[in-house]
Amino acid sequence: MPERILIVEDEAHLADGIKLNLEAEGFSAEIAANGLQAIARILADEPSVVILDVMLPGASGFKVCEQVRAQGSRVPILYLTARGSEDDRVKGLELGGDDYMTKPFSIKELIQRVRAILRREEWYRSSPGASDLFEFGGNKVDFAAYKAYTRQGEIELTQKECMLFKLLVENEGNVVDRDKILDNVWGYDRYPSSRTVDNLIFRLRKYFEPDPKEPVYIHTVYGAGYRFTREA
Amino acid sequence: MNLSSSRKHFLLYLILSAFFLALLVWWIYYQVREGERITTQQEAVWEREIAVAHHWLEEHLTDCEAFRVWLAATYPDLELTELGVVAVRTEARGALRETAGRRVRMFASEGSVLILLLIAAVTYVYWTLRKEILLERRQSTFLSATSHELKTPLTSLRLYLDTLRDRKLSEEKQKEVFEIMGQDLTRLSNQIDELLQAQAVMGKRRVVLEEIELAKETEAALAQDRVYYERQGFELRMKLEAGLSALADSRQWQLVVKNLVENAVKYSGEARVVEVKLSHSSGRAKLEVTDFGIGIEHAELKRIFDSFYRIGNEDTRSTQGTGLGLFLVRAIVKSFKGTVMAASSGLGRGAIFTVELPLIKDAGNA
Repeated sequence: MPERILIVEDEAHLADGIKLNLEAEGFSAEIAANGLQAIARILADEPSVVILDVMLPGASGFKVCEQVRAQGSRVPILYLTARGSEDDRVKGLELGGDDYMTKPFSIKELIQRVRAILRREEWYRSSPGASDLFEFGGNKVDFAAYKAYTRQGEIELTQKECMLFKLLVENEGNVVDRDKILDNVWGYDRYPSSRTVDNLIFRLRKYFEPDPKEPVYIHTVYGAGYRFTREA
Repeated sequence: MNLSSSRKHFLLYLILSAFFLALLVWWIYYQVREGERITTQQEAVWEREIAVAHHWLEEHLTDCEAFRVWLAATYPDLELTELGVVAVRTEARGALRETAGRRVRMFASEGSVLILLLIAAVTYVYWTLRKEILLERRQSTFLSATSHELKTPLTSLRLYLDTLRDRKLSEEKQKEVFEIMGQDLTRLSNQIDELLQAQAVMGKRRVVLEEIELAKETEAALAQDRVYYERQGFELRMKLEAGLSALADSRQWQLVVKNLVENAVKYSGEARVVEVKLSHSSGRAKLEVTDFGIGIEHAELKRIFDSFYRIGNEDTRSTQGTGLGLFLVRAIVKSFKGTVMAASSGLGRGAIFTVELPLIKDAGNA
């Protein structure tokens, strides 16, 4: 079954052109022409990827992203907008978007980025532990449900937390460097800052480590990256 | 978020105004106090002089006349009274009081003039800054809208060009793509035209007005757009009275007509009907552009002709446009010595835009 892409775009010419190209690449594509319609479609149809304009009638693209995330949807969102300022980009990604492209754009690059997003999703859904619970040191992580059961009880994990932790688990015992983390968890350049990676690691340690200041599972390898070990 | 520059100016302005006002009040207070100090000082001097004179009087009691001569020579402000006491002359006291009074009057009048001037300046600057802040807000909306209006057809053109280059399309599909690209080009060139016209109007470039036949020019303005609108399913009902002439510029008049109709089409909602009517009454030509669409709220009516004004929030823009169209209409009509008015009985009840121009009397107008 082809991957379903939802194009949220109020300019009919653009929406039709993108649809034409995506279909030629073997995707199935649909169009929503305003923000409110987009929210309803995303929640009801769960497309594989959403290509989202920002300046939209009904509800802005930022609002759409915020709303569907608040409803628990983890559908990957790629912004495609004329608004290219750094503030807009950061805002869009902070609201839970996965990638950000500005108009005018190259359709080839758009398709590449859609494929990259789908690859990351595919990687995340694949083993190990995609369906089973992953257990270590009294913690259980359910990657499919984005949940963890720790000494503190049940915790809802964000998508990025899950992806980063999965990456560490997959490379158990080996160092995972920043580039690999950025590539697998975010998949595009210039975002996020290294600080964001540090913050994610900090949060994971808070969930899983008996003493986050003296980590025994998630180790920092100075100058190289991070390493996960199952045994304390 | 950063404070915008005019907001920073506004803050600076408030601080400066407060500072100058405080300075002025302090200066007046200081001058009044200084006047009082001079009076007190003079009185102290007199008292000392009286004491010295009394001492002298006791020593030379014998010759009153000689004492008087000495007193007048030494202390001209003092006199020997009938009672044999030395006192300040009434004239001298009067002169001191007069001087003090003059000082107070001078500073009161100068001070109040200064305060009035300061208040006038403060008010003037306040209004200017306020206007600037509002304009800045509209301009930022305008920039956002313009970048959207210019980038959208460009983006579409690039997209379809890439598509034509990289993909094999059926002949039918190709035709469709060329049609879309043509429309994008028209949109782009209209947009650029509008920006250039706006610049000309705002730069107050002089346009030589000439006699134009309104029905003919109105028809010409819509000839192309009409086909485009009708293909999109809009109905343009035109009722143009022939033989009406006014002093205007044909290119700019066409822009007025185009903008009003474009505006009506944009906001015509489900009705998809726009009426264009040209008529005359009491020496004035009247162009009415009516739609039956989403209407305009009463509060918005006054502002829609402002430059860069767009209804609502740009993040949730529901219509195309930069907010220049109606501003241009008003500026152009004004330069033709005409008027433009918008009326709507509220949301959902459509709108009617009326342009009136003075008719040329000897041009066969009824």
